[in-house]
Amino acid sequence: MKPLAVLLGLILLGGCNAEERSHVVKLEKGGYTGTADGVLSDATRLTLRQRMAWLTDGPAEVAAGDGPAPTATATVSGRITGQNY
Amino acid sequence: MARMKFLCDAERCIHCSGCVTACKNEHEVPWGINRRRVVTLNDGKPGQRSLSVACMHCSDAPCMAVCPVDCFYQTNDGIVLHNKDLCIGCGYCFYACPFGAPQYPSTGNFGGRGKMDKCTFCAGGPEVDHSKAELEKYGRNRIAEGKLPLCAEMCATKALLAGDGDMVSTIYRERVMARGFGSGAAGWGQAYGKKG
Amino acid sequence: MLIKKREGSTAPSRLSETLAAVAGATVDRRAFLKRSGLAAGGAVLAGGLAAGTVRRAEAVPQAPDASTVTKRAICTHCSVGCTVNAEVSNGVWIGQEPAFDSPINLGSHCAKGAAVREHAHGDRRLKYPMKLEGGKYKRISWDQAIDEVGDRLLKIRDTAGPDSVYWLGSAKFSNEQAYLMRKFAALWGTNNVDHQARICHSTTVAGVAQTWGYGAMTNSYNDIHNSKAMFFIGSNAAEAHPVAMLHILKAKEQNHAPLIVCDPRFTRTAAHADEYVRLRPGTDVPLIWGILYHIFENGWDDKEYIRKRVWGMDQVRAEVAKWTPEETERVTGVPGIQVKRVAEMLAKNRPATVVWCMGGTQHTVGNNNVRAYCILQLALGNIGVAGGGTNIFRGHDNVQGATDMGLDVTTLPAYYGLAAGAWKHWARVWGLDYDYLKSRFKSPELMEAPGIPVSRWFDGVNEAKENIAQPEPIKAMIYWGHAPNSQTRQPELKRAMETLDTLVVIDPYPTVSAVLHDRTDGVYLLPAATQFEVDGSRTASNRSIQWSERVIKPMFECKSDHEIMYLFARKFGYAAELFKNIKVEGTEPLVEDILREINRGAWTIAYTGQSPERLKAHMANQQTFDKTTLRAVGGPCDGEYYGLPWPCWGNAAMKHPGTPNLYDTSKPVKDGGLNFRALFPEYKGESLLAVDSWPEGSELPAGHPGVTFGMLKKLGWEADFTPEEMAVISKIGGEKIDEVAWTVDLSGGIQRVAVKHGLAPFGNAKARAVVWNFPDPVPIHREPLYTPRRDLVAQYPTYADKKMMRLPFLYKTIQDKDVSKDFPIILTSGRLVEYEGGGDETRSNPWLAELQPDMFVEVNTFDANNAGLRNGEFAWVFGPEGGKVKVKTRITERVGRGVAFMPFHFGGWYQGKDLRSKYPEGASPIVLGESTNTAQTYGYDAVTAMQETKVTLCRIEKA
Repeated sequence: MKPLAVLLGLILLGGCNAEERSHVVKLEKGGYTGTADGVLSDATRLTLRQRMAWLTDGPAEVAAGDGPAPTATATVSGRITGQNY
Repeated sequence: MARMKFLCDAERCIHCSGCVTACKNEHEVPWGINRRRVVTLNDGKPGQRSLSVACMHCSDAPCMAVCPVDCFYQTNDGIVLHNKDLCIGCGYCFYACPFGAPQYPSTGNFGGRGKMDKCTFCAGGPEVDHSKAELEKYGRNRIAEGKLPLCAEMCATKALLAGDGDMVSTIYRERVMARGFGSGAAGWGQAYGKKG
Repeated sequence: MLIKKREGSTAPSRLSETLAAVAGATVDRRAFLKRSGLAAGGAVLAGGLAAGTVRRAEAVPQAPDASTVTKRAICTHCSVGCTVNAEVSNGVWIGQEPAFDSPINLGSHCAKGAAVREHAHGDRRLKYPMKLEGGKYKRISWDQAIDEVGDRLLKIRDTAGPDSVYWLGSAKFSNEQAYLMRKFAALWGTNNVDHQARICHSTTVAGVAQTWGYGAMTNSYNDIHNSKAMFFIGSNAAEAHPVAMLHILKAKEQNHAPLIVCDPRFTRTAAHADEYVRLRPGTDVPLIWGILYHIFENGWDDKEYIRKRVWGMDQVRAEVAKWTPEETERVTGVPGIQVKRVAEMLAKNRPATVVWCMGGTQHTVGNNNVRAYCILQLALGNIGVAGGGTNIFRGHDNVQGATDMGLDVTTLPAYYGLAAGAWKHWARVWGLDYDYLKSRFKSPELMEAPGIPVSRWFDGVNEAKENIAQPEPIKAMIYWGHAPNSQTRQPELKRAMETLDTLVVIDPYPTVSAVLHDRTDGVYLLPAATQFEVDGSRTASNRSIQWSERVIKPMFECKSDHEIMYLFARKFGYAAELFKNIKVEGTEPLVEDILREINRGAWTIAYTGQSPERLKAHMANQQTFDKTTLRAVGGPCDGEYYGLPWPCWGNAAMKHPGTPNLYDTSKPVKDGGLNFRALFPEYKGESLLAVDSWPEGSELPAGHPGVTFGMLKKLGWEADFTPEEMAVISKIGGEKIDEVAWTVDLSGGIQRVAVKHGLAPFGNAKARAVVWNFPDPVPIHREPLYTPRRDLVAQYPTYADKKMMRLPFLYKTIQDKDVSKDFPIILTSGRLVEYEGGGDETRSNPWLAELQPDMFVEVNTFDANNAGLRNGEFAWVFGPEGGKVKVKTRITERVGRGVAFMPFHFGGWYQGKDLRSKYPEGASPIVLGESTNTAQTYGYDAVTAMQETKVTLCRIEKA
């Protein structure tokens, strides 16, 4: 009887899609126990940091000048009451 | 080494969606799935601001906290990833995520039950780096190649920054100082009661 | 704890592995999509390849490996000229990496540029030659296509004359292809050869060239880093030239340069502005004059600059005096106080750059608008300085180059015009007999008469025969890389397509030309390669010429445009003449040889120093160029400017570095300095030569006309010429050797000697604020043909009707009819970031199409509520000439009251009808929609026949 149960179990299991096999059937909140991901090497980390130089468009420079201080708040204007468009 | 972070500079973002198509291009993300999206607030009105949003790779990620099958994990560099073999596509992370990052394919074989898909910070998944399995399930792994997420690397105005958090903030701070006015970061106005 | 079916397993079971092996399922892209659960819209998009289609790169995502090579190409969308670094493995384009080394884009891309690798899929391409038979497209062979099309065209040439075939080229051609096509049309025997510049920046090219010499962007995108203020009018760079914003925002942030955006729409560019000026569409001249009013009133004009370098400013002053703040506000709608504020910003933040695009050019008064912008900059002394200039952003990736190559009804390559002298010059370059060229045309008059502009080619079919100034109407139309839906008056265009004897489309996509008409035969579709599938040079907006490397071989049965030109030339019997100096390998002409021929002939704009070798060296050493000055610092290109921006004087051996900022007298000519061109040295006895102004280091410190051999001889520099140069000059000049000018000297000696002594070969004169040879010498305001402001028509009327370019042109007749009661809303059009041009390519790209799936009209909340419109629902937009379009409604404050906006990239619907079923199977774009131009109306610039797309009227109703 016991081998039969094991066989039955195996058959049932075999019927599942491979990717569904590790599904949780009972929830008890815990931590990630799936496949462990690789870890970056220090060399890769350094490369990544160096690569960030490309995210700037060159060193920031503050220009001299006595123009009006930009407001950065464009306002909609340009329509006067009663205009025909 | 700080954690990997994105930052979108709203003073620069022009809603060109270059980040969106760069992502689609890099990972062959199909129609209907948007790991990254640009949103515009106050569209057509003064104060209009655009921001590019994807998974923010939270330090204390809500998705991770609520996932019933614990399919999420964080890499040593703070990138929040998930394991599609474990994911059951329940959508609970969708509830939890403050940014609407998780995506659910509507059809498909593997995704027949709607496995979740999201931004990987171009770091692939738990499979062996550059393996066929990783490419198939999560897209390319740029981080392992020593490259940053393509969305940020290709950003039209260099508004979207990605990488080591301390360096992101250095680049950004330098810019804000040069500007000498306000901040382009979203939430600035809210935080400081200032317009913009 | 977690109980799982099987612990921690991600390894596939042996069973499923076996099954996979049995099924023979290797992982391709589609499998990947399925496996990763991402196959969503796949079915929607699959429109599918018919079984047994030709080879197609199946782009499997893969990490770069040893077999991967990086090809350096240029983006094929807008004119910014972003470098695309393409990773190619075994002939498949597998990845796209940021091109950080490019000084122009520094790795950046917009949505379009970041999506160009979709080429590797090419799902919706036109895959093989097709022929319309009984209303269905059927596959044919290339041989059959060339034979049948060739026979039909030759028959038309015999019976109706060469002018009855219209060769419409493309801004998507490389320089070499554009040049070859112009030459091709010349040998066919017609000037009916044009391209998109006609409907894009023709008014700029004409107006700006007539003002100071060259009709091109004066500075560069990068040079905006030096600007202290930026004035945008009719340009939505954030959508049309997104990567330009990288440079613009840098100036804004670092120079605190105020960004002023003048536009009827609160665009995405305006959202980043410090000052947003909402003007009524079609009132550019009044706005500029209103600003100049304050500049003159307050003495902010640069009087010294004007004295030395500008002619006619007094006449401008007289006109500007009429534009008081009150009158400006009455006409433009811009509050007087704001106009003054803008004037002050420009006056106190110099240098300022002025940027314009199609919002300024596409008007019946387009040439007036562009000249007004130029005059504003001249008054401020902002031309010829770093950070200043008129930075005219061109549209397509090579519209500048195609214009330069004379793919145009009014000129031969390099703006030589069509007079006998021009023909003789090019005959010498081509090694052909002038009389042979003459024999190709129906008459010498037609050889020297401008052709029918593309904006109106369909009138060349539809007009009564007696109104067309050529022997017979147009009977065959060759759409070689042009979207028909970007042209106004679609119902008229459709009618013309149906009247034609033959319609040929040569394009990577079937385009709207395949489906707009109701023809059942006489239409041929020939699949062309894209610029990623060929080598060639293209000219960015800033005149930098970039060599774009072939990424992949032409897909399916596509052929390169130059190969198709060869095949037709062979069929027509003039291949030997066309390719006399150009090597042809098999049936493919050698691109480098074509560029060398250009180098030998294009002296007027000095496309002569940019040899293929030099251009390739620039691409290979991009990292050595400064990101602001564009000048190489060290490395093999030390001292040269990126892409050798024309004019690059003399021949390649002279090693001129190119001219980064036009008319900049602070540098010697040999280092890229320049002054204004002497187009007209005098007028009515008055000299126009520059006064007290010359480029640094000039040995002739004075104004002077264009350089001739005689002039250099008089200056005592005859001894500088080499014997070889003397031989060429003597041969060209014969008896009149002294008259040989800098434009026709094929040896380049005249340019070399002039530049050696610090002279600009094209002379040194003042810029003309008054262009006496134009309809309005001083730009004035004229109300649009379709205007809601009937109260202004009497005071600011349009032109009288007239005839030019072989056709009648109506102005007054149209304006006199008041339709503003029935059509009360102003309709304007423009670009979206996701799409480009007519959109056939970009709407076929799923990565882009998903972002913008619907054609729409933007309507102000006020007007929408009055018309009972609801956001997101369909509405009908009716045009006053009977066209109508069914589009989604977008209710927004982006447009002002009384103004509606539609993007122009859509096509494939016609007056409410979806035409998808008419496309060849599997080749319809993913997104179809109405063309705004179905509702848009008559109106053409009085100089260049530019179409008016920015102001017409409409009525919007709930559908």
